[in-house]
Formats: sequence, C-alpha cells, structure tokens
Amino acid sequence: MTIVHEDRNGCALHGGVRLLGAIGGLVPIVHANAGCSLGATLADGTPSGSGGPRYTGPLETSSTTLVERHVVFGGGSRLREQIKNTVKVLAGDAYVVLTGCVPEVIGDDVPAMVKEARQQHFPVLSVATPGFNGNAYRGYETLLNTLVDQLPPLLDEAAAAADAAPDATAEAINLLGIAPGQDAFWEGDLLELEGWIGRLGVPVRRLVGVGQTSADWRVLPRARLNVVLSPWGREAARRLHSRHGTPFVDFGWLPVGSRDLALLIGQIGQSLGVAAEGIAAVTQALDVRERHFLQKFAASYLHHGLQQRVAIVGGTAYAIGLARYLAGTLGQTLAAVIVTDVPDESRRPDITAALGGGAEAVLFSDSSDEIAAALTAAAPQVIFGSVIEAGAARALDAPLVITAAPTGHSPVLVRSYAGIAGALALAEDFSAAVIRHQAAADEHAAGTAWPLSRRAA
Amino acid sequence: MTKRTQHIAIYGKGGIGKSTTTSNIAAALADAGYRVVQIGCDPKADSTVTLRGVNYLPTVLDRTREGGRVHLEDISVVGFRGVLCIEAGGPVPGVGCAGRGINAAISLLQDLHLFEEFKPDIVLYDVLGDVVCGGFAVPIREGLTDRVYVVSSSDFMAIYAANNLFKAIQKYAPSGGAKLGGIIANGLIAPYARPLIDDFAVQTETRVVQYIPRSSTVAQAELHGTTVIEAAPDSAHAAIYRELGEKIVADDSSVVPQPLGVNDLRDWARQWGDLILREGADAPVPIRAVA
Repeated sequence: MTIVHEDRNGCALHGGVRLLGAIGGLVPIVHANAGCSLGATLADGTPSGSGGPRYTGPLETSSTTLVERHVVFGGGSRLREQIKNTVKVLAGDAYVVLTGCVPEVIGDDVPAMVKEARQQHFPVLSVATPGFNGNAYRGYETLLNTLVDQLPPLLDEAAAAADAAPDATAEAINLLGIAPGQDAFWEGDLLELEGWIGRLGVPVRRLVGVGQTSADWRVLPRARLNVVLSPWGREAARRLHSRHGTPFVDFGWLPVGSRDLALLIGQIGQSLGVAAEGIAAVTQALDVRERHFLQKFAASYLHHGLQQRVAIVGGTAYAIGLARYLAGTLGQTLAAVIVTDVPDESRRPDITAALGGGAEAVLFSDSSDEIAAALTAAAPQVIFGSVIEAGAARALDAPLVITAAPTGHSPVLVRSYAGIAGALALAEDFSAAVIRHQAAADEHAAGTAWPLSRRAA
Repeated sequence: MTKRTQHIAIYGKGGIGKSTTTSNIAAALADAGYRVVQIGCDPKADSTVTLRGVNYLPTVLDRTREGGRVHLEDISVVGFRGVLCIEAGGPVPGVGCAGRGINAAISLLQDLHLFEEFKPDIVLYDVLGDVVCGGFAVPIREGLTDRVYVVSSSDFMAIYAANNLFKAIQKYAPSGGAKLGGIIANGLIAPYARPLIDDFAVQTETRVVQYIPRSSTVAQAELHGTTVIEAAPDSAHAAIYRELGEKIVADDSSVVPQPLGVNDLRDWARQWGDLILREGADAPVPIRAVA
C-alpha cells in the first residue's frame, strides 16, 4: 500500500469535530474553509476505519465554508448567518462553533457572534481549534476544557427556560481523556471499563458514545469523582476540582488486563471510600475472569513460541496500557515503545516511569520517518501500531497488530483492547498475527499447507 | 488605589508618541504607588525601552519561536518603580503574520496567569497604530480591555489614523468591545493645534483628555533612554503625565465615537486648511473656529 497522505494525529479541528460527534444533542458549527470541514468530516471516519453515525448524521456538518472574500473582509457576518441557519435546520441541545485556521489568523471576533446568538436565547458556545494549535488530541483537550467550563451552565440555562427536570444520576464517576475517533477503540474500551468500574456500586458516565448525551454533560460537575485516562483529560479534571471541588484520580493511561484494572479500581474505590472488601470483591472477579481465559492460551503460547520481542506505537494511554500488559502479563520483551500523541514535555517523565523501565527504548515522536527508523533499530518480531507502520513491519518481516489510528483496512465497531475482554482480545489478535506469520513463512519455505506441527525454534 | 485591575489600550498613528506617552503614564502611576504592567503590542518591540533601560528583553514571540515552555520571568522585566515590562514582539518585518502574533502573545500571557500572579492595578497595552487586520483589534474586543485612548497630534495623517481607529471601536462596541476613554493630544506646537483637535473631538462626539505640548524635556529624556517622570520629575511635563495618569485611573467613563466618513473628513480638513491659510499659522485661533 502506498500512503499518499499520512494522517496519524489529524489536527485540532478534527479532534473537536470527533468529540462533538460522540455526544448526543451537541451540534458542531465549523467556522473554517470548505476543505477543512469536509476534511474533518472525512477524517472522522479515517483513523478508526469507520466513523459511524454522529449525532448530526454520517456526513452532515454545518460549516461556514469560508472563501477569499471572507479572508479579506472578515468572516464574522458569515458566521452569524450560519449560526442563524443551523439552529433552524439541525435540532440540538447546544451548538458549538469550532474555528479553523483562517478565522484565527485573520482575527474574526467569534465570541461576539456567539454572544449575539445567546442574546437571542440560542445555546451556542465557541472554541478556538485552529489546526496550527496542534493535533487532534490537543483539539480534544481544548474542547473538553471548554465544555466542562461552559456547557453545564449553558444547558442549565436552556433547561430552566424549557422547565426541564434535573437529571437523577448526578452522583457518578466521569471518565475523561480518551479521545473519540483519534483513540481508535475508544467506544469499546470505555464500555468495557464502565462495566467493571460500575461494580463498585457507583454509576459511570463515559460522556461519549452510545447513549451519552448532553444530559450527561449537564450534570458532569456534580460527579463524585473524575477519572483521567490520558494526559489529555488532566486539565479538565483539574478545572472541575478547583471549581466544584470534585476529586480526581489521574491514572494517566488505559488499563489493559486485570493487573492495571485492579490498580485503577483500587484507586477509585479508595477515593470513593469503598470498604477494602468491596474493592477486593471486584478485583478478584477481574483476576478470575482473566485467568480462566488465559489458561486456554497457555498451550498455544508454548507451542508457537509466543514470547516475542515487540514494539508498540501509539498515543500515551494505549502505549502505556499495552506495554504494561504485554510485558507484565503476557511476558513479552519490549524492544521499543513509541509515544505518538505529542504530550507536553512536563508529562514525559511520568510516562516513562509508568513503563517501569521495562522498555529497551522509549521514543516520543509523531514523525513516521523517525518512527520507522526507531523500529528498524529496535528490530522487533511483532509491531503493535497503526497502518502507517505497515511499511516498517514489512521491511522487518514482522507481523503488525493494528492497535492505533489510523487503522486502515481494519474497521472498528465495538472492538476493545482495554479491561479484561480487551486484554483477551489483544492476546487473541497478537497470537493470531504471529501464528499466521509463522504459517505463511512455513508455506513459503516448504510449499505445505497449514503447519499444525510447527514448534518454537 | 483601585480594587479591580483596569486594562487600558493606547492606539495611534505610528511615530505619534504612543510609546513615549504610555511609558510616561506607566511611570507616573507607578511613582504614585500603583502596580502597573505595560505590554508593547507592536512587532518593533520598543514600547518599554524608556522604562527598563536598553537591555535586551526577549519578546513573548521570541521565546515562543524558540519552542519549549515559556515562563513569565523569561519574557518580563521589572522596570522603573516596579513597572512590569513585556513586549509581545512579532515576526521579522515582511514575513509571517504580525496580527496573529499579537493574538498568540496575548493568549500566552493569559495562559501564564500574568494578571492573577502579578495582581496589577492597571495594565497598559501600547498597540501598533494602524489596525490593519483583526489581530490588531484583539485588545479592543470584549473582555480584554476596559477603555481605549487614542494618541493624536494636529497633523492630518494622525487625525486620519485616529478616525480609522474610531471606526474599529465603533464596529466592536455593540458586541461588548472596549469604548473610547478619549483622545490624548500630543506634540502640540502651533496655536491652531489645540482648537483643531478639540474640533475633531466635537465632530466625532468624543473628548480630549489631555493636551501634551511638544517639548525638549520629552525629547531629551527619550535621548537619555528614560521617561520624563524619571529624568525630570519636577518638570511641567512630568506634571502633565501625572495628571493624565490620574485621569485615566479615576475616570472610567467612555463613549462610542462617531467617526467621519472619508469625504466628510477631507472636507473638514480643508476648512481648517483654509482657515490657517487665511489667518496665518501663528495666529491665535478660537476653539470651535470651524462650524
């Protein structure tokens, strides 16, 4: 496959559009060039194979589609017109103006347009997400911070006007930091975590994905606890803490397997004041479940020599989560861990520390050339990463397990690599990739069919 | 002493004496015990020179260009009587986008919690004279500054620039932008200068808050790289700047100016030209000479 356009992390606008698409009742209004909104819409589907239905539909995105006239004379009045029309044709609980590069460079007074709409009692807010501010993770973070600050009061205002009753499930745990679309397996992963964390007896709000709507965001400040699963949710949790006093657990990565999930559930339980026995009941269940299925795996693990040198390429949450599980539970050797979401320098020592010194090489980079060179140098037997690593994998004759965006020809519906089900799926996909690779090599060498008798060298 | 931080933007044509005036206001207020921040919003980055000496102060955008995390102490220096001096800076002349630069620099200062940390009584933004794009209008938009003052001499081009700034203020005022505190009439020499500016204020429904005659005291202080407040604290001009500073702090009233149309401004100027030609440039002119 020839990669013509390599889009690993998208841009801030993409991150914003993807987050809004994952929340029922929120309508994005993209204030940017025509190409930007179409790009953001198409890119919504690209990283994870299939973007799926968004609140406003699979392709519908309200956009100001700026042209030269607006660049020269300003795009403010075009945005005014677009807001006015969008609230007429797209039903929503709130409308969020996301700005692209052009209005941010020319200095459109977007807040003034939003203020006008608010004066007419339309629930509108705006967030600056120019692509030059950073990648889709940065856009996710920027929008998340604005939403936790501004969306609940905006929705309260609208609800008061409509005389709606407050939500009954205010006392919940919020999960923050997993970026819809950019983190390819976000939806399945959050559903998996919701199930296990919920066993502590407190409802869990994923805030994004199936069944999650503006109603969940409206009561978000009244949560008992915020749980942060990547560097990108920390600032939002910090703001909620300073404004509403909500405590937070800054876990920092996605728990894969019983060991890390027990660690997370322990921290959450302690923070909520759950009795030690209550926490133990949940964590023991994790262990029992994982052990039961991994035992099935033991024979083929030995038979096929599944202890390998592996390299992991992905965003912070997934790179750490996968590395700790692959090395800590599945006994793999970490030849390299490459973190691709460009976290702040200040966060990097924590990320390296979370890897526990188990990796031979740790690299922070989003450059595919650098990543390919690092992979070549590390010479892993198996690569966990995105479709962009396909070339390096081929050159190294190493099987590639798709665990990051863009996923290429590997559509993602509800697949997960988190928690227990996700960890077991990872064991399945990893072993299948290695065994298929061995089989293909044998077939090539001997011209035989499926090599049932292959043993570890 | 004010309770709340007042944010004041000072605009005007290039070379009209914005930085000199702003720095002297800053020095006068600091001398009177106020906590003052002066932010130069001009790519030339020379707004605060007379407050801090000629030592190199890296601009906000210099530091941003170098990459990495920017700290407040890297981009600010404490000048005369504790005035915190900051220069937004900009790209090399002829490249990039200075308007976006101003926007980015101000965003960064907010991210660094400058105002929460330093807790100033007054923040002065010394802004490039010609509001050529949206970026340079950022200081007059909603939420950033409380009032705008425009520095102008009696020269037509300075008045023309002031009239253009009034257009920008008029545009943003309905959506919550800062309004005009008044005109600072600067560098006045000829007898007609003051009545001419007064008349411009009448025509545009604004007001003049202070008259600053041209003076060798100001020129000399500039040549020595200091403010008048520092170089000649007891001079008549120091008193003028002190009075101006107190007026800005004490009087928070402001108006939406009514700028003249291009042809109206031309016609108005021509009448003044005729008058000066008729009476002689040195003749005393009564205020409201032109009806």
